Amino acid sequence: MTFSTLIMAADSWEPKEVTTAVCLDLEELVHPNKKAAARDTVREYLNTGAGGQAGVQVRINRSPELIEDDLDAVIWPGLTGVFVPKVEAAGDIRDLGGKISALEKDRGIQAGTVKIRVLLDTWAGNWHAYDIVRASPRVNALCLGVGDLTADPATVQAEKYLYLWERSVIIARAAGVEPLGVAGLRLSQAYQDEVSWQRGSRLGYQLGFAGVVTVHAGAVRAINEAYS
Amino acid sequence: MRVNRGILPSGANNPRVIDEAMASNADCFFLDLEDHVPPPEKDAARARIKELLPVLTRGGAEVVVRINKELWEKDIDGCVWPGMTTISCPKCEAAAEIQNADKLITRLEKERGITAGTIEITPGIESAKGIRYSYEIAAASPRIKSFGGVSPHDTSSSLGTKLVRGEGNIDPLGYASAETEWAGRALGIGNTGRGGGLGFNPEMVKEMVAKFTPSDSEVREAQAIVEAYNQAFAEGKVYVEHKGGVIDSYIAARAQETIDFAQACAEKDKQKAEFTGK
Repeated sequence: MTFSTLIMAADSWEPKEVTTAVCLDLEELVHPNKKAAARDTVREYLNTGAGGQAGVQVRINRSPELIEDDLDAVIWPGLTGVFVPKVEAAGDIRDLGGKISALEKDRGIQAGTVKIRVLLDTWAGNWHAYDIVRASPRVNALCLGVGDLTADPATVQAEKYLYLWERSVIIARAAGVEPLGVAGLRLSQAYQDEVSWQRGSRLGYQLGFAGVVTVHAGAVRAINEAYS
Repeated sequence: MRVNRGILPSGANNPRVIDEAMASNADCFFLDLEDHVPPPEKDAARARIKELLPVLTRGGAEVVVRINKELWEKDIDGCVWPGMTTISCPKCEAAAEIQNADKLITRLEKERGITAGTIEITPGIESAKGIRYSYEIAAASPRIKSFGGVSPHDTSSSLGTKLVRGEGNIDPLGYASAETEWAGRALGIGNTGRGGGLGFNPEMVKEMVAKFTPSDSEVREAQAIVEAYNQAFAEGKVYVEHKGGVIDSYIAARAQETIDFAQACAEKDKQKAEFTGK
């Protein structure tokens, strides 16, 4: 049982022994030129059944030009869930749920298998969080990245934004989904040292998060320690 | 891009406003009809606005006038003239207040030959109710271009918070300012990072303008960041290591903003130099 989920670019990823759940990325970590290759990697991985019991998670693109191809590539047996970023309105999730249902049906996947984890990395998304996470029964987690909301890394730790984390835990629990913290969704994230990972992870644990999502492999150990 | 580095505030009744304006190199003049003008002087102060506007704005500076909440109709009538940039509406507590102000401004713009929608509104949030309804207030009119933060003095009176940092250096107004900023950002009109400061005399204004203008070295560094990122992107990468840190699309976008803002500052300074003959 792991408390961390590491998002890794699907185009450069290879299966190996890890102490974290992995989410294969088709979004920000993948260059536009490499998205087709990234989709192929995920499709092949799913088709070989290599996900095993842990299953496979994928972060898709939210933009209309990319989402259809992403879903087409990943909604196969073995996929446990999709992370969807930059959600701003409940309608986004309703639409997504509908698209997933159609593909599950076409491909013989039991209806409702594919879950949705909502990444709230926009201000509007956070404001409307309660409606967003209740927009589909597929939603099973809410992830808030405060540092990803602000242009200024210093505000990540400012007390005035602490309440956003606390609020996200309340909203998630009230809606019946898991609150997940974020130890940085941006590669340029400040505070990439062991001490910061430890402090952030302990705080997240105290606030009631069920686990942590990150793009930084260096954060995984601190997360697992804090939550065990 | 908006350039509001140095702001000179004045009671609109101050007879030396124009002298101070000429001396100050301000990007913006904040004229108060509210708390800094004693009630007996408010009518005369209001009547000056129309004639001050063309002088103050000749160098491209903006003018903001803070009206009185109880005198909003008279004050707005005194403000809607060519050259006015923004009307600041204090002590907002409901979207309807902003909607009423918007309607009046629209009618007066039409009557006075000002392009519809020119004059902006800034709502002031200074009470518990204002904080509670900040999202609705911020969404109440397209004239509101930026929103966030609370006015410390009156908000403290309303909430009973004290105006000093508390135990553990905690800001008692932290939640209030964060919530209002967040409402603005959720609506896409949050205050951007490009700041400015009040200068209470012309010397201070000059310091503010200098302080908030990106330095040459900042601009050079920003250019280096943008070039490094663009190079990496052209090579099929989504990030690049640079001086011990990582540049991704977010860092590159912020650097580009610095470059654009420096450009906007230079243009503004050129405009002002033509006005003051410096």
